[in-house]
Amino acid sequence: MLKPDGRMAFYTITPAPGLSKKEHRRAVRLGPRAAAVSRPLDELMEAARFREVETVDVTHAFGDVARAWDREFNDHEASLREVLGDELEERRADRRGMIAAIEEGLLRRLLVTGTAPD
Amino acid sequence: MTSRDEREAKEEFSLRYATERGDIMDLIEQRVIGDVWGANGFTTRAQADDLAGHLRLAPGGSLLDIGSGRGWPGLYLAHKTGCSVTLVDLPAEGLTLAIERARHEGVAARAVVGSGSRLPFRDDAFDAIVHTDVLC
Repeated sequence: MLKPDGRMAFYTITPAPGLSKKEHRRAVRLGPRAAAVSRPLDELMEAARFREVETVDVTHAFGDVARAWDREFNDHEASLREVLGDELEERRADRRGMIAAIEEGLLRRLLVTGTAPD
Repeated sequence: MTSRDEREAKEEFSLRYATERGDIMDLIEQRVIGDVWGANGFTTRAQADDLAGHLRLAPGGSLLDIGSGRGWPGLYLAHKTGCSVTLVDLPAEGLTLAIERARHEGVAARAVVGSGSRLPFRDDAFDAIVHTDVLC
């Protein structure tokens, strides 16, 4: 789909490398839907003949943003309950699970960029 | 992402996009990610601005945003850089809101309901592709 020399850039959340099978299962369970990848993303990009592939770990900012959402949801709980109803607790639980996984080193977020083959 | 994952995601986000958000959600989103797009993920406005540079977007260019929701960040990037944008997502509800916003803001945008795993575009269709926390 990309033109020659076209650019791709994406943020992705994946289990951290080097996890045990048990840790990997926990990372997938607590991460976003389908947070599983079998090979390093830069390898996948290069296998697709992308050039100038770069990967930047933005997990620290990921944790900051996840905690900011949680903090805001706590601060505005009553107002949010009127809007979200029962979904409020589901969202908080999901986010707190993700925060735990980040802080345990199970999940990471990456910025991946590359240039399509010419 | 499996077909089951896609079905579940479509159901969840169709409902979410069709629900009125309320001013409180806008306030929180502004404080957390720095802008208001009906997003609830982890891409901040500063990170979206970084994407514009990495993608080398420019007026006249064409951007594909896979899993665009209500338009974040693809529509924002098109507005910021002057490129056109094609938004793809499974639920139509978010895309409808995004196209309304594009019209209001004068951004060249089109929407396609579909899966990131089966994209209906020809070769050499886009200058750039972006997605954020979609194809994990």
